[in-house]
Amino acid sequence: MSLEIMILDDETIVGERLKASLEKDGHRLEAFTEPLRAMERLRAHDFDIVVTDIRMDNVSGIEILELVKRKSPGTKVIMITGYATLEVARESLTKGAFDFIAKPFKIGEIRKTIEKAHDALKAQQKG
Amino acid sequence: MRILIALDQNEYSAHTLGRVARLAENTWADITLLGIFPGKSDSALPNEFTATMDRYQKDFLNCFDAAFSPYGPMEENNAFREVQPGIHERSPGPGKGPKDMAVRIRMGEPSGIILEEAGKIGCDLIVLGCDTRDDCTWCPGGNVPYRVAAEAGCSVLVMKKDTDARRILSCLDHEEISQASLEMISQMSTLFTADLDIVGLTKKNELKQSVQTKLGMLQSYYLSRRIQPWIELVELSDLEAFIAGENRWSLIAMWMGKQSVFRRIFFDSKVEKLISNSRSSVLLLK
Repeated sequence: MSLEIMILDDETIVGERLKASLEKDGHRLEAFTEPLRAMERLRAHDFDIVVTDIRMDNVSGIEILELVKRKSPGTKVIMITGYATLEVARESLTKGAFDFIAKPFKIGEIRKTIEKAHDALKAQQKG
Repeated sequence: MRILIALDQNEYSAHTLGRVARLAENTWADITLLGIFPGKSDSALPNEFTATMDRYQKDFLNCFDAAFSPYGPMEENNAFREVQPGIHERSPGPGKGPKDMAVRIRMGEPSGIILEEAGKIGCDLIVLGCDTRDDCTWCPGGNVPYRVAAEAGCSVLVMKKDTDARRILSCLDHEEISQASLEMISQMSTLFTADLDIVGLTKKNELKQSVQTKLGMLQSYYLSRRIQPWIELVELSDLEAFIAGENRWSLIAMWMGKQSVFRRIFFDSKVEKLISNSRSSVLLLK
């Protein structure tokens, strides 16, 4: 099954790496580097999975998480961060993030998490 | 992030475990606790060592609030079993958490075992403790931290007991530095709650234009991530003495990728000396 996935990271290289790899797996990807534009898109469209950086200019990943969960509670949100702290991890999970991944990570780690999110989506649809 | 923590029975291993638990708590890393007993692989595993590994695993898991722990609980009656000659492991058990935690014991020569396990699991970081005695003991087996740091395909953090310093010295200024290395420094800056000093090398008091450009880029990179970097210009011939004043730093991070200018200047015997004698922890980035 092909998933619709949004990737939001203000570092271009992250979106590029993930997009190339996940598209090979047959998923449809939209990569954003500007949080405000990503928010506009999220208001207009529901994704199966959103992968977002936490620390960005103007808007935090936590705000992205809150927006997604308000509008599309079934969407799985994966948080990535280069500045991991206990507080951020807890806040992300309390607010409904599916998983939390610290940089540096290998593409394989994200793919494994996407697979887990995919399984959770399938279970959600059955239940 | 996947972290391999190499452990023996010395006090520094217990200390390292506590610090890495904080890193794991922050990053939700997949963890492998690798205990190494310096015996022959065909000899029996001493109960004393499995008891030490039990204690390490318990102590590690006790660092987490159970409601938010990324790892499953330690289960009673889940003994180590020999899966191959000289390799013992505990099964993950049904109460697995969202992140992986593997616990293994191997018997044999430590550095070879650590490198083999790191390659097998594809970890991002190897962490091992080390005391600050002159020869940096780590089981009988020579300078294990140095050999691991020199040969590993991933970054290696050699942890010393904490100093009061709250600064990280980063020798990073080559243009080929990897994104993963910059990110690892960010995580360390968060973990050590430390400011960042970035070294720029000068020759006859002149800073090359390319180095200046790179330093500017690194400064912007960290500033935009709300980490305050300080640039320290150091004359090439003074670098060793500068680094030797390590009481100022809680961590010395050095990029040692194949293209690294520091690898050329700070050749192997000096890196070995740094790891052995420094009172600061040392992070060798790849």
